[in-house]
Parts: sequence; C-alpha cells; structure tokens
Amino acid sequence: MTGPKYEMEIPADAKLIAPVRHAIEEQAHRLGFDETACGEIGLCVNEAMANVIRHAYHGNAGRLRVESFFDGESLHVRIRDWGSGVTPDLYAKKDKNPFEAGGLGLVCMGRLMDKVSFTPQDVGMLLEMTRRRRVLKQDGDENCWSKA
Amino acid sequence: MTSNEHDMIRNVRTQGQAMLLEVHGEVDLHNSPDLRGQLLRLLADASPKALVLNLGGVPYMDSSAIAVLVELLGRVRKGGGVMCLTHLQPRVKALLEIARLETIFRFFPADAEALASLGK
Repeated sequence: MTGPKYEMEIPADAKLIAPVRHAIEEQAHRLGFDETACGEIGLCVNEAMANVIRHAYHGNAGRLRVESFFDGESLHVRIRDWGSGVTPDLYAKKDKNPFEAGGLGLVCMGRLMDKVSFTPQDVGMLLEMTRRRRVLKQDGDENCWSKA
Repeated sequence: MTSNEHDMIRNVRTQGQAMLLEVHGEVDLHNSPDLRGQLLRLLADASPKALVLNLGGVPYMDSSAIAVLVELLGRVRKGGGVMCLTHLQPRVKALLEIARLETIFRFFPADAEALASLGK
C-alpha cells in the first residue's frame, strides 16, 4: 500500500498550519500508522511549518509547498520554502534548557521522526522528514514491534 | 480547527489565593498569541499564589503554546506563586515531557488535587 501523494502549495500563513496538519495526520492514519505516530507526525509538520513562517519568512508574506507520500515503508514529508535559506542546527538543541525560548520544534523533529534533513536550495530550503511505519509481528508478540 | 480568542479561556474563578481557569481548543502558532494576550491580561491585575490551568479542553498544542506557558510560569513565579497544570490530554503531556517541563510545572489529574497540594 502506498496511497495517494499529497501536494499543496500554500501561503505561509499560520492559520493554515492546522488544516495541513490534520490532512497529513489523516493520511498517516489511513496508511496504518498508529494513533501516537499520527500525532507525532502531525506535530512535526506543525513545527516545520511554524519554523518556516517565523524564521524563513520572519512573519512576512511567502509561500511553501508541502508534499507527503508513502513508499510502502515510510511516510515522507517534504516542506519547501523560498525564504531566508538558513539551515537550522538540528542537533544543537538536544539538551534544550526548558526555560530557553525557541528550538523545541527542532527537538521534536529530531526525536520523533526517523530522518530529518535540510537541503539549501538556490532560493530557500527543502526540509525532508521520514517516519517509518511500524507493524506488529505475525507471532502475536504485542511487545515486539518491528520496522515495516 | 484551532480556536479563536473568544472561547479559549473559560470559567475563570478564584479559590482562596488561587486563580483557576480552563483553556479550550487546539493551540498553535495561529492562536497562541491570542491565548498569551488573554492570560497576561488576567494576570495584570492579580498576583495569585497559585495559577491552576485546567487543560482538559486542549487536545493539542505546539511549541508556541509551550512558550506561552513558560512565560506565564515566569510571571507567576516572580509574584511568588506556583503554576499547576491539570487534566492533561496525552498529546499535550507528551509534548511537555519532550520539552522537559514535567519537572518545572506541577501536573495534577484534577483541580482538586492541585488545590490540595498547595497547603502541603
């Protein structure tokens, strides 16, 4: 099962975060991701979009393209912007001070997705996030989850 | 959908030196500034010894909402108070734990437990 590919090009507007998040959570749910995984994927989409709005476009007008597709093993989410093109330091915030403002979105992406990469473009940035679908082994061992 | 400013905070009340309120709706970058404004206005004229936020009506929040809670905590602490979060839904609790805030906020299953803890 691979399912449909979602692709949307939208304004960099915070009011669109929730509908895009809901759409990708729904896609993950239909692909068989468990409820926790769907929520974690949605949160990472939320945080990625918010980072684009706040840091790539600094709250100014802009656009972003969101793609998501399943390759039979993993859900891939790509978020392309045409903003500042600054690569976030994904790993610097792993021991984030709880009182320190900012950086939590990157922590979430780094912890909750299996793979995260930022690729600078001629103008802007391409963020790619991957989350593997886990399936219950056929032997019925409920504690034994394996990557699909 | 995320909630708008008008229905995010409900049932604001005081009990002793504690201020209690309920937050409702999903909170993300779109509406967290509204939530921040409403909460800070509530605190502008009050210095509660405890602020008890019932988050049972919040199925989802993002890092911008967490930033609001941390700012609020700073305000309450500055006045010598404590901040309690109650009725946390799973996704909200998970994010607070990722943010390592479970050691900074006080979590309780219900408002009554939060209030009971204040005298201890």
